[in-house]
Amino acid sequence: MDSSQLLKGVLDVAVLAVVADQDGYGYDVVRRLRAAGLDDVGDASVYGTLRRLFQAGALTSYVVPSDEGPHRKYYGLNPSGRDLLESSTKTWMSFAQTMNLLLQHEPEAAK
Amino acid sequence: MNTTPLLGAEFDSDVEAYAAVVRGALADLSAAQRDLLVEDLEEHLTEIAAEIDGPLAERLGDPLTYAAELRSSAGFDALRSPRRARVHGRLNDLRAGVVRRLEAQRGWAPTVAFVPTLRPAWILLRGYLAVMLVSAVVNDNNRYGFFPHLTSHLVELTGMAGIVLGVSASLWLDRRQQRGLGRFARGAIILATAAVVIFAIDWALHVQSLDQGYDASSQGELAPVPMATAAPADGQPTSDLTSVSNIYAYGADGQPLANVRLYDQDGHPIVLTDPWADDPSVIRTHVLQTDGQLSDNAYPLKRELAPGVLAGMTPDKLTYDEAGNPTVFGSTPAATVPPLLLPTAAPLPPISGRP
Repeated sequence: MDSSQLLKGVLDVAVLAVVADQDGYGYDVVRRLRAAGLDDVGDASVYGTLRRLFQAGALTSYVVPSDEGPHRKYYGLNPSGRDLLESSTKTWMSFAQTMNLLLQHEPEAAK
Repeated sequence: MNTTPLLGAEFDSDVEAYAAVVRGALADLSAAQRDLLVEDLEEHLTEIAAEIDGPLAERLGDPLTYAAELRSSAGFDALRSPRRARVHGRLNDLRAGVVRRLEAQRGWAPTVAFVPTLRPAWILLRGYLAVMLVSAVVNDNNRYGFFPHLTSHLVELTGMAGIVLGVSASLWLDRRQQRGLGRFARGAIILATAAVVIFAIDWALHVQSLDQGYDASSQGELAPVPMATAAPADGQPTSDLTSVSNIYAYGADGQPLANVRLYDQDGHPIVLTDPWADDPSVIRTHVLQTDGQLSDNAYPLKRELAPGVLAGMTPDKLTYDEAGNPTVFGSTPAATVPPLLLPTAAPLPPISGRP
């Protein structure tokens, strides 16, 4: 099964979770998602998701000047983002539980 | 692998090239939407480029795919109709397939590397061609030289100014193109480029056929005379046998004819454009008709140099004998030429019996 298709549906909540942990800029969020085990996550998807969540009012953003490299746009969660993360987490938990139950019963059903 | 086969432009770095393709692929979005998506694109790419050795595309994938991913994850796909998105997706797949197949060919990589080096030449050429296109429009497509005729006076000055202006505009446009243009501007440039290219092909064919004409005439054959087709208003003299400034008629016996009056199919007198009309050093003598009127269409025209004008400026290559009849090309005895008229330095080969 292609996990990149699954990832599309949960990228929002994944990004929210990473940013909730600690504010981060685009590439930083990409790295942390990969470090967490989401190896297939695409750079462009993460950047696009950050933009969309920001546009939707779930994220705050601020620019941090950097001495050695380019200035970086950091994103952080605002109250609306926290609410979204909370409700998304609930949705995911219940969905995952349902799927787990379904898949655990599947072999018996197939018999 | 070269990551920018699409643009053909030269970029200082892989980052710039990659970013340019991504921006180009998002050109249909509004400026605000696009800026939102790509505001820190270069920073992102630079950071990745610092981490890896190879080209960006190896790590991030095709820039078009990157742009599509950015667009869809940001939720801007909904702005397109699903049908358009589908067509677009299919075209992208097709394009990627073609590129993959081409890249497998030997010689493709050197060609891709070579084509961008031609761009500066093309930038200059398209400016010049655009001016020639204007010239063709202004002249109703009647001139096929290599120099633009933009005005009736001061042709050299305005022509040079036109070329300089056209090339400058083309260079300026190139700078704008490199920075990225809106959808309509890009469409306009594509249309204008197509017009210039089509004109250039048409023009090259005409210039070539004229060249062949000149070659034939230098070998002693009569070249067809390019003739304007514009119909004159009634009662007006027909004019504009372009590039012909005088006509010499010969009888069946090979003897030159004088005072031959020429008319076109509608009975309009054929009057040639006199290239020396504004030159005070050339006196044009019209032939008197029986009714005492001066005839504009009696040939050959006599042109004489005004008294005091130096030798070497005779307008016609043909000269006249003492009786006022034109002497035959190539057999002019210098002694019969009146003092003010000059024999041509290089006599033309004899004209074969045709009038």
